[in-house]
Amino acid sequence: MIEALGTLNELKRKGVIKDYAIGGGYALNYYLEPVLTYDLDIFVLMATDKEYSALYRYFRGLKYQIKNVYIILEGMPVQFLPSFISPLIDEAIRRAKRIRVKGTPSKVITVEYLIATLLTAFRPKDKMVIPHLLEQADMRLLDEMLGRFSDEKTPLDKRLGRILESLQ
Amino acid sequence: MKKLLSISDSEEFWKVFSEQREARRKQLRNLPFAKKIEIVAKMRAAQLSRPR
Repeated sequence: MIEALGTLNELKRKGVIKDYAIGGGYALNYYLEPVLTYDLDIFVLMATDKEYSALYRYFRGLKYQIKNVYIILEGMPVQFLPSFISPLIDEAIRRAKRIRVKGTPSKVITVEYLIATLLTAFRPKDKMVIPHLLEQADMRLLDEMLGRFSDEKTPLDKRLGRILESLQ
Repeated sequence: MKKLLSISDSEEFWKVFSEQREARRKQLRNLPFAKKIEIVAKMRAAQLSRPR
């Protein structure tokens, strides 16, 4: 996994991607106790699907294995989620926390953005971990964010409200 | 652990069990990220080596 981060940093240096941040299961592992995670979700700053296609072309050119949506980076299946699909992802990358993993620099989305992405997916496994993440979250910041990113289809603020109610 | 095994009252058992589990979770949460990655890698290896 750390080797995959090294490859991502190289992509950034070469200008193939502008920036990235760790999201999904590995972000969850960053904040909570380790849980079995098969793939690495990488939120990547990209303005257009042309840039996204160029990323896959880049890896194809280097003979990297590509399985469905995953690019296998140093043995780790990596799924790239481009920022143009959601303003939430875009902001999550821009405000991500800088970290170092055994000397390798990287970024992980903050706990508030992780909660917001989990509220977006809102699968049973997401609902289960949100209460634990809330212990580390800045609730004022989270409320402000959820207010901005909620809409009728994905009422993130109402979803959080339901979770908080269930805890009482 | 010993304390847990010596409890005969079921309510008390689950109370102590939950406390110990939460303490273990907290301990694991506070591990460095690199260490957590190592643990996840071991879990993945064990899972992938299981016969299907």
